[in-house]
Amino acid sequence: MKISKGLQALAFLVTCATLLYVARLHLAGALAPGPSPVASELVDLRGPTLPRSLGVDARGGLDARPSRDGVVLGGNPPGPAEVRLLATRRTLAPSMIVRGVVRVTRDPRVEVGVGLVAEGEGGERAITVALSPGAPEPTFTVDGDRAAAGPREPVRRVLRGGETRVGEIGEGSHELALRVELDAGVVVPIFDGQPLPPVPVRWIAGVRVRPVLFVRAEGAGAPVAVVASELEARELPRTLSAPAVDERFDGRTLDPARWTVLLAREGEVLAEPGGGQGLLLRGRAGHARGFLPAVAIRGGAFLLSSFRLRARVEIASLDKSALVFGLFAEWQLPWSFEIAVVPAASGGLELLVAGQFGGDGAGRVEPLGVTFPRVGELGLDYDSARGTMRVQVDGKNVAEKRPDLLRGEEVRLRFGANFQEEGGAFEARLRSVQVSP
Amino acid sequence: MTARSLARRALARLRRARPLVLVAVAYAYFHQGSEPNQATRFALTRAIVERGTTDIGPDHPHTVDKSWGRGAVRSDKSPFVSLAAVPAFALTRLVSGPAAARLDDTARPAELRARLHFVTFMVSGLAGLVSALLFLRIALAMGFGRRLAELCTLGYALGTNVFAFSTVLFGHVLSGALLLGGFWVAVRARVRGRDLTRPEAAGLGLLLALAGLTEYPVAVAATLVGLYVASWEVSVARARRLLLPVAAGAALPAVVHALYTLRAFGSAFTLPYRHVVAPVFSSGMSRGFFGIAAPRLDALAGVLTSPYRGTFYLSPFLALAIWGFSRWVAPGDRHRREGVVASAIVVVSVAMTASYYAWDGDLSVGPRHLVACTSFLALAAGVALRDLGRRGFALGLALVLPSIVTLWLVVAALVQLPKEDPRIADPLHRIVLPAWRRGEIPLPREDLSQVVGVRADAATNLGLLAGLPPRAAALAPVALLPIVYAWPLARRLRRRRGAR
Repeated sequence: MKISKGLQALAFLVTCATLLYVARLHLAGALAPGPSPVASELVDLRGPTLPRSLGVDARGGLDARPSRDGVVLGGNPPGPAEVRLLATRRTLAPSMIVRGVVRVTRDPRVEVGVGLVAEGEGGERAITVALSPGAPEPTFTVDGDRAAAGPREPVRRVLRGGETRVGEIGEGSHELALRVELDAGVVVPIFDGQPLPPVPVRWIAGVRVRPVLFVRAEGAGAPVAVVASELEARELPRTLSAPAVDERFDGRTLDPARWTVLLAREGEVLAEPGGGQGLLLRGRAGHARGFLPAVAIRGGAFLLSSFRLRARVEIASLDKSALVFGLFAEWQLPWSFEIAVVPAASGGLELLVAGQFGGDGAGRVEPLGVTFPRVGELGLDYDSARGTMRVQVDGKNVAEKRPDLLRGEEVRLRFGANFQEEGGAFEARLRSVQVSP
Repeated sequence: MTARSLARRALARLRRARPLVLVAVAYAYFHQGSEPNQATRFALTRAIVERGTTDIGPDHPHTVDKSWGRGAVRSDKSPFVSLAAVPAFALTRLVSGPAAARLDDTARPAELRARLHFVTFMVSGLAGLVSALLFLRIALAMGFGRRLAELCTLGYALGTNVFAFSTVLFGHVLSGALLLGGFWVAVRARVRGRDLTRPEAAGLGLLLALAGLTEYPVAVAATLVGLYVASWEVSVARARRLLLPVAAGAALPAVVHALYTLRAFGSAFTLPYRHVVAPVFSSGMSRGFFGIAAPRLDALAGVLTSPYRGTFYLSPFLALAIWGFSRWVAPGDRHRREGVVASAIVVVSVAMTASYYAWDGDLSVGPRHLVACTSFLALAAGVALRDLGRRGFALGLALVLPSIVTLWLVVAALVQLPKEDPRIADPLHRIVLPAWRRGEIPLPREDLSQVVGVRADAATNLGLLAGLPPRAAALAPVALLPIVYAWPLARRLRRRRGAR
């Protein structure tokens, strides 16, 4: 009986504590700022001790030592060696970025990399990008497994020279990142903010992963010492309503957390910001035949609700090509609604609407019979209550359509350029893109 | 018997059933659209009714919840929810006539929505309603008193995620109703001071087996109820008398299940989950026993207290169950044996959920894998309130009301809350309440059951269909509360005045 009374008293206390704890959580939730949580972990590697959340996995004679400037990943290995810093386990989000800040040496035997490691039943799976900064040009290697589960399929792609447009790397701190875009089925390596060509993968959201930063050394030689000062894993926001964007493209690079840049592997294509001139989009189809998306710049995901988009464009040339602005959703079938600026038969430029907007989900292309100036502002106003999209040119309404995309669907903004047929070429500057919910 | 006395009796019955009227209206009122879990069940129902097969091939692109068996795509779920949906689905086909006999007729989305809404209510909604009725009866049998029993019933049916899952075509509520049905058969006999009759034993076997075969993890809880009944008296004579009817009752669903898996997967002794095709599921399911390995502390905190999927966070009144169980299993309680089995069911269910690789239930409100054992948590919370006497009702009211309000806000906005980082996610404050502030309720995600031709606008409620603005539509059934309770309140006031 005494034991029972004691248990009841204990249970009473636990009940009270649980109720107070839950009330506190509700209060904290109600008072916490910010519209939507973004899972993020930034590990500052500078300090006299290694951060407790960090796992170290060393083999072959390399190790990790703390220092005021960051963790020194090094040693004097007699043969192939590797040391890895592993951050906290997390759930792989559909859109995520892993970045590390490292001070590299130009030793050609040494590779520095970042990425993700998944621990499964059948052993470890990984997807990483490694930088070998050796002269005269650096090499980036995307390496690992095509998928986090199922039959093993290795993926290895070496990027160098013209593919990367990264010149000789100076000594000092650099930022190496891997952006994972699961909806698009790609990982995008990013060096000092500059996106490199994407590599297709089939990883799936929900897998438990650990962000990793590593140094590999091949063979014996001089001592290795790479200083890593930051390791960050950031889930990119999937906002509920359209994100507020005021992008002038006046930075040196495109913000990789805001935009994913996909460039065609065929032909010569370029999407380059900077110089206060906006975003330069340039392309020449080369041997590419038929329709080919040349440049696609994709924004973060949000649930389709009312928004207003304004894009200022200067078009220098547009031949057998189209500049496109719009929305797309990817579930099992990609659905979209896009306005395209294309060359008109008269020699000027005109607008087309493309995508699913007939109420039956079928893809359509329809000329709007509206001319577009060489320098002008294109507007899209989506009204979620009515389900309509108004198209504007320089502030004037020119058309209204009803996209098949429905309120609440997960969508992304997309703009860029397509080659419409063989021999296509374009050059345009996107001065600004503004989006308001 | 005069017409007047008949009317009086009918009114009295209706008065006694008033919490159930509220529950029925709430369950029938909301429809959540669909997603992969429901789509695979709809697809199987449709395959059975329209093509007489278990091959969901024509609809498989619309769901990721699928298995592969005998050269065709099959549902990866237990067949019983789909089988339960067959009569309602067939009825909608009869009513709609041959012109719109197929659910992929995209020409009439409003009609399709209404039909899906009806099918979901006829399976999950009615199962939830039966659960509420059983809960009320068990609470009364355990001496809760009418007022407290009604309050706890409302708390259980509208203040826990049983409410949410009664508006979607998942198996949790149906399985929970069957489990509670089995428990009620046993408790009723105990309260009457006698052993089970043979028909009751057959019913018990049927209900418990069906519960375990509708949601496989519930089989453990069903076994515990069976052990509880077996523990009443261990004798050869009793075993001879009851074992055969129990086995006969249990054999019926077992045979149906075996025939289904034999036809779909080529073996009578397999589970659809063994044949899942999506790597994200097969990798998870390959851990431990069907994805159940050792319990994890983060998952335990996640299902109990976290803002992400915590049951106590969502339904604070259930926290009273911790204290309630300590009293229910105490030597002095008349229903101590029932307390022991109920607490064992809850402990085992929580431990299993915390051991499951997808403990958060992916798209979910609260821990959906605990739905079937929520009735036992709510009963334990009721025991705590019962033992507090008069103060118990006031405390219950103070905790049940916020629970109902929370669940109402969630159910009206979005039941399939997204998968997020469990450490920091707070879907109530980050998704549901902002949606209410913006007036975007229900908040539809992409509707994955394109199998039925409806896309992202499938989540709805009867108020919206009647043309009410979103917030008013979401709150309209609340107006029933004062109507249903006005008369007894007025009567009580009259009595007080009379006493003065």
